[in-house]
Amino acid sequence: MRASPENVVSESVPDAFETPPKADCQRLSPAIISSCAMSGPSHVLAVIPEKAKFIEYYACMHPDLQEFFPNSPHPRSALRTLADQADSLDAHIKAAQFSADLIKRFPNRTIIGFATFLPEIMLPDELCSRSTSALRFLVMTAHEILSENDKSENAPPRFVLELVGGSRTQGLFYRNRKVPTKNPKIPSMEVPEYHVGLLRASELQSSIRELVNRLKPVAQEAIKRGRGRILLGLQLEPGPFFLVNSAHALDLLCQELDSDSSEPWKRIIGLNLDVGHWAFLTKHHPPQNAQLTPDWLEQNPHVMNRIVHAHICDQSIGHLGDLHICARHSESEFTPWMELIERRASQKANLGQHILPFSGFIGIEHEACKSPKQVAHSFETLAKWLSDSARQAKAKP
Amino acid sequence: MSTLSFTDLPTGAETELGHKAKAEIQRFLWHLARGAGGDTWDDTAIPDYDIGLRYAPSVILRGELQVCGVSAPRFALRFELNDKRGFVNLRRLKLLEDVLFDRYPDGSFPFPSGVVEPEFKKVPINLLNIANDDSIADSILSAPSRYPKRAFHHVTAKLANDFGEACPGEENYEGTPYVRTPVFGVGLCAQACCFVSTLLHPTSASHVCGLGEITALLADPNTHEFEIAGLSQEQILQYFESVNLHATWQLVKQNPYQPLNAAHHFEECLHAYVASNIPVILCLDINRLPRINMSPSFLEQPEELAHHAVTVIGCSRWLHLWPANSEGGHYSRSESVFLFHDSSSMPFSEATAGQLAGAGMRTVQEHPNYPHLIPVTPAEVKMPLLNWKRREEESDQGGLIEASVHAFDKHCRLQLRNREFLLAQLKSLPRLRLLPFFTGDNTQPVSDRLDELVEGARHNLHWDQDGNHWVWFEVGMPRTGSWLTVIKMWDAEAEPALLSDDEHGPREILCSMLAKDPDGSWRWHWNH
Repeated sequence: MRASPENVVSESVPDAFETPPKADCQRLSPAIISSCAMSGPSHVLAVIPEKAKFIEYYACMHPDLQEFFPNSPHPRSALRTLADQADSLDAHIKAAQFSADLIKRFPNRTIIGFATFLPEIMLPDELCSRSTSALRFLVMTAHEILSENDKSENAPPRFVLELVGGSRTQGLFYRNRKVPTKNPKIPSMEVPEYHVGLLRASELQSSIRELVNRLKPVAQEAIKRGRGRILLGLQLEPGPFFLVNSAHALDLLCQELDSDSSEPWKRIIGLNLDVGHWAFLTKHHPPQNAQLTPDWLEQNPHVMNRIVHAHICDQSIGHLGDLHICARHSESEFTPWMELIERRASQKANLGQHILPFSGFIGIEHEACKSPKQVAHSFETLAKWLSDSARQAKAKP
Repeated sequence: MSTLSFTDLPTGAETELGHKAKAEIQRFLWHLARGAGGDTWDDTAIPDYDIGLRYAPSVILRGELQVCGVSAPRFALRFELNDKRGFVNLRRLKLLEDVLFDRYPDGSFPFPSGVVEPEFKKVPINLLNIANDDSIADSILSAPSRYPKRAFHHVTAKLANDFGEACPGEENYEGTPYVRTPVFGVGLCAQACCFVSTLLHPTSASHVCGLGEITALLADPNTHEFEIAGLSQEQILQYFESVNLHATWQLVKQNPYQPLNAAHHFEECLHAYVASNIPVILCLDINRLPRINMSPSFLEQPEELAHHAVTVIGCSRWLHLWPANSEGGHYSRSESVFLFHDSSSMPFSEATAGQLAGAGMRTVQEHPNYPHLIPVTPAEVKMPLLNWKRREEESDQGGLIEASVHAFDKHCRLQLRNREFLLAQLKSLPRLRLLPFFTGDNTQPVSDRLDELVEGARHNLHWDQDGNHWVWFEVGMPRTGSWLTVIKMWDAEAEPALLSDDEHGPREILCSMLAKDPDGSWRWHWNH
């Protein structure tokens, strides 16, 4: 195990994003998110195709918690287990250990990012502040993995930490309501009436400002450790229970991130373009809101330039489950999004203009899928699209 | 005592299920598999079951978790029914309860800022008794074999693919969605009906979400909270508008001098929609329905009004019109049977038209009151069959059944008892041959004539050349006159408000009529 003491980490804020010399930033590669299987890394390896060399690790499914953190007093809570590691005195040693364990469990594969689902970051109670601790621990681990990755020939240039843009729900409360009965001996009875606290939709801007503030310690850790090579990719989750759930929310979020250039930690907070969510699950927003389309993104460069990573799968008319690519939508419906990702990936990063670098990967997402056939189909389809596109780009004069 | 055993179970998964999950699954499977009849539970009749479970996504669990403020367990445990008859997602309730106690060490959910105490209180996790709640979440089911397709129409959609059940190259099988609403859940019966009805329109609905999200979508954007409560009928209409579907609140108009007409109209309307693959939400008093599948909570207070909503998703194929003698021309009639999903008890519950008709909301002293119907159609279908309204305070407007009475001349009025409506898109014409009017020698001529009718509509009225236009077919026997059989075709996309403009009947609505003379020749007529 290799410890990673503070002195190997530069605490200065980078002026520009570092690009490792070995990396080819122009080329996009398919990766597979490990949440396709839920019974530990060996199950993941049994599900993903042999050809898939890049893994985006989902942190963490329950069986993984028991495997990687067997002494955790919270074996059923990824948030608390990861936060405990971050808040311990030897956090960096634990991060190095976690990194070494992950690399060992996924032999001959390269871990290129972490996927998470911790919307608790926007909840009101004190424990929610621990979600930033959990994310900080993942940043520490990312730093260790990057260091290991750099030893190989084809080291990926970046590491992405994908995170959900927060929940709008704020807790549950109740009051008793008196209900009359027909029994004269019991004139009324009390029935609990439950209510759900919710961040006001009309105060979206201030809620998004709060989300960005809560991400500050995570982003600062990422800058400190990764010197611009660890990026945060905020995920749009569809539906009324999530804060970042529409084109309008993305617009406000990116405006907030661009708003103060004296806060360099905002430079590494970007967006994860989840094709399944963006293309197929945000159409329902009221007509007065902009539709999230490739054209809209081209017209809103402050959003486009913050895209640092992408996920892909097909979706139905709701978040019923991740479907294999083209299960419901045709290739022509994916094409504009693929072209957009390729254009974005070929952009040169420029901090001054808030243009963030792109990870170089598109993660295939098949959470708790039924069959390895679905993952294999999506992998082959995406690999073919990327290789066809690369061939066409080469053929151009 | 029967047993339920699991195969291919992920490690530790069995301990994640709720305390009563096994018994619940056994009863559920028995209900789906049992033969016809059997009005009461018989635990000794439940056979042994052996099912395989795997983790799978669930849109229902995602929403429930967000309300609880935790991020796990957002995957369900899923088992598949034999022969691609569907799948069932199970909530991992014991795990959820454990996660909540771990998440909130003081044993209560967080209390949002801005909420006023002491009127409102913290919710102790124990109060919700989560581990003992209903486990069955989003599921897709085929109708039990006791309701065979040759005798019943089931409202279905091809949904296996949408839930990730169809692998590449595999068939996308069809079924009917179902969900149970737990006590701790974030949506009640009306939301469950909305969820089921939306999923039954996978190509028309703009989106579908979990039960709690349906409630939240209807909340005021300026409020900082919403109540977990049922939906009013107006809210149900509002919800369907937001997902690009059309729902109309329809009522049976009661005439004290012709009480039987109201019963016929109720049955006719319900059958017309369901036989056309359109789900119908019924707002009723569940205590007035047969008790076969009643949940214990309802049985405890049989005298109380129990506001409830169910989704009608099946019906006997015909309105039971049979020739009473060998010459034909006279028909006797028995009641239709309907199948409905009850989110508080069982899918594919069964009731006759009369049983449903008697389940309207009313107190003991009040006159019979029919349940309100909310058929859920694609957005283009505007023309309701019964009287309709949008808001409680509005007076109701006439629907197509009323319009049909006034249309044409008296010779074309169809006999109330020998008439059927059927909704269809021109590109997928109804299988009229299944109707008792068109059997044997009549089948082919009718099909040919319908094709002519459709072509004429496209040409003369510039309807969608792709055949996407929706029409109502009205088929039956005239009350008087020289024709034996009449088929009328109505524009189902016409706005019903037009009906009230003309006391003599609709002017703007197309009505084409195909009629058969006693001499056997077919003639058709236009009126628009």
